Amino acid sequence: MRPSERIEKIVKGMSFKAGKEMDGRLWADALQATTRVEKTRAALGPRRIWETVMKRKAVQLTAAAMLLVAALAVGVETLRLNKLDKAYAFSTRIRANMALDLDPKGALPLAQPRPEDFDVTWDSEGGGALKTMAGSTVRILACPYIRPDWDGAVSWAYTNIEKLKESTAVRVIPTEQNPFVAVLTSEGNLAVVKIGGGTEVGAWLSWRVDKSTVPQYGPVQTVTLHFADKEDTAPQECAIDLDTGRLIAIPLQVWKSSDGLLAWLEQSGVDAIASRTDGGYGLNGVGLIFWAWGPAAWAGTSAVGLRGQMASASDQSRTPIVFKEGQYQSGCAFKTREGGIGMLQLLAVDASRSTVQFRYRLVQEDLAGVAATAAAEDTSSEQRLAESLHRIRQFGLIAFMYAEKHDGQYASSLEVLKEYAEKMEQDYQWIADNVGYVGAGKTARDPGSTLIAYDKALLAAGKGTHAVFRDGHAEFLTPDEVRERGLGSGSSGNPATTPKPLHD
Amino acid sequence: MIEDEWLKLRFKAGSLDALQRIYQKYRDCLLTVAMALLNDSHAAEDVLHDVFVTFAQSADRFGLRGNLKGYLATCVANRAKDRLRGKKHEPGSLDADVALDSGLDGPGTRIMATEQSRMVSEAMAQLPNEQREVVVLHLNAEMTFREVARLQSISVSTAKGRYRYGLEKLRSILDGRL
Repeated sequence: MRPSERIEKIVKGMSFKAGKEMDGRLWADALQATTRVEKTRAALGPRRIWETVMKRKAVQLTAAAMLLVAALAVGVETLRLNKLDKAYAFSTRIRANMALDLDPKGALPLAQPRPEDFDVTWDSEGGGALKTMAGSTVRILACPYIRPDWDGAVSWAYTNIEKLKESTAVRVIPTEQNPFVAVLTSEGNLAVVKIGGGTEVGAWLSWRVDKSTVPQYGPVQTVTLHFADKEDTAPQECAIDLDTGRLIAIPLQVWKSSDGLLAWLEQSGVDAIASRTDGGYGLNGVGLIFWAWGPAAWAGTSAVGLRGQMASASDQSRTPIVFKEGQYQSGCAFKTREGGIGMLQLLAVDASRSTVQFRYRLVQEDLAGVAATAAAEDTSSEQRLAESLHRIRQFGLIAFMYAEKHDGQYASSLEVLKEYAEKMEQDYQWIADNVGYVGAGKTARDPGSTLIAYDKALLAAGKGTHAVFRDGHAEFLTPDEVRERGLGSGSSGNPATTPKPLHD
Repeated sequence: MIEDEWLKLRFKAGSLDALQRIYQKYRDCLLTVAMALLNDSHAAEDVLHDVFVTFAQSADRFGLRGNLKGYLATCVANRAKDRLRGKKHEPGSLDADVALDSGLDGPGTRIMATEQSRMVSEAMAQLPNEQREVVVLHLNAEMTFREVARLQSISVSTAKGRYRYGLEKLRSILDGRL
């Protein structure tokens, strides 16, 4: 039996069974749900009449005004509402000539619906299309990305919101490849709609509604804090409230009353304290949620993406953020107790002066022009780190595609991958200049942790580099890890190509 | 499969017996899928709960033409994905609520599993989400690569690639342990 067959057999054999307690509860709830539906259906009896009447085109045309009101009752019945932090998610089936309000309150029954409350309708012409209501202020725009996921579609919508505001389109025909549509609703919200199974008769719609203000980074704050010292007779600023940027000194009497310290810190709005630990110098969180995302994260994470990732984060981190001498510092995504979301990065530690310097920026709503300012503050080094991670990950995919077509054998050299890079619309010149390829002779049967390639230009700066592995994941290798793997020592990579130095 | 077609028809007509049969038939398979994706008994139970409650409510608009098991597994995978998105970078762990399957179903037991299943599930937790999803949906939910590819909005060859990556990693984790 081949090793892969053995693993397949083991995974297939995996089995979890519901115990009596879970079984009883699940079935009881499912049963209760069917009973609720029956009651709702009985209460919405007149709907059936409306549906029957509306199937006749003549009636549809002559009863347009009544249709709007009736359609709401049809539309809201099957809506499923989930609270996704600040966004709302819904789904329903839309039928031809049915009007629908995409805004959150519109998705629930209104006492007195008005025609202007509605945003879209389903147009049966041309095989079916999502159409804005005639004469409304609603704007609609198709997402051109091929089969993006939800996060990708939402990011696209946010970054194209100006284009959406100027859109003159009134109808969008969905395809299997491009099912997403952005809608600026009658209430000025941004709805990202996914259309499935569209026919002349109707379609399934799923949509998320969020504020039409684009989350952007606020200005970068660079802060220096003194390490917290209980013996310091003249306490210095050692803590920070990240939401307001306020620096805080902890009074001696607070330090001394160890019982009340945490309560004092929380009441004072402290989110982080500069600290010295066995692991090194850095910051300790106070009720702060943070995740280290690697050196490329500072420049490579969009405000929309960061907010999406952190909005539902809830687990507080206990380990400190530690400064790593002579290395690129990780970008740390964080969320404060007050819900402020941002990115933080340590910059320097001065042990002789007992200080730690770091910078951070918060995700904020509706800050026109701020994103450009913030982006301009990213140095070329950070942009380069973000680009490196993206490109090396793409390269891993190119190498994998080649192996797929060659019985699992990875390419013998970079040159043979040129054709694949071009097929995948990747810049081969960047690959030739920057990639240290060590995949020659390796196969798809090698362990997933087998190194395939790394960014040799980044490596030349001596602070570590990004690498991609056989299982497709890319990660940052610290200088120690680089040494362990012998990268850049002449034993691997492309000795024929001289690495291009990284300019800080 | 014929039974499934019959069950779908009866379920759509409002038959509680059909719903119960579907529930009994796929409960454990879907629980396995949820556990493999989440490696967390509470989260898996929540996901299974949401899927069956929503499914039970959807009888009148239920118009599935394809594979019922695949459809339910897709629902589980989507719910699991939502949960994982909220808890990124923090793989869960099996807990005391998963009892070893000794053939005795104790009154407080919520989930039963063999030791091997627990080990495989823990190994699964170390895979990237997208690879784990392909492996589980293909092997445990018996979905085709085409169906998984559609769910993940990727090409069939990428789905196959993820599957192979996932198996390789599982092999390296489980080698010597099983």
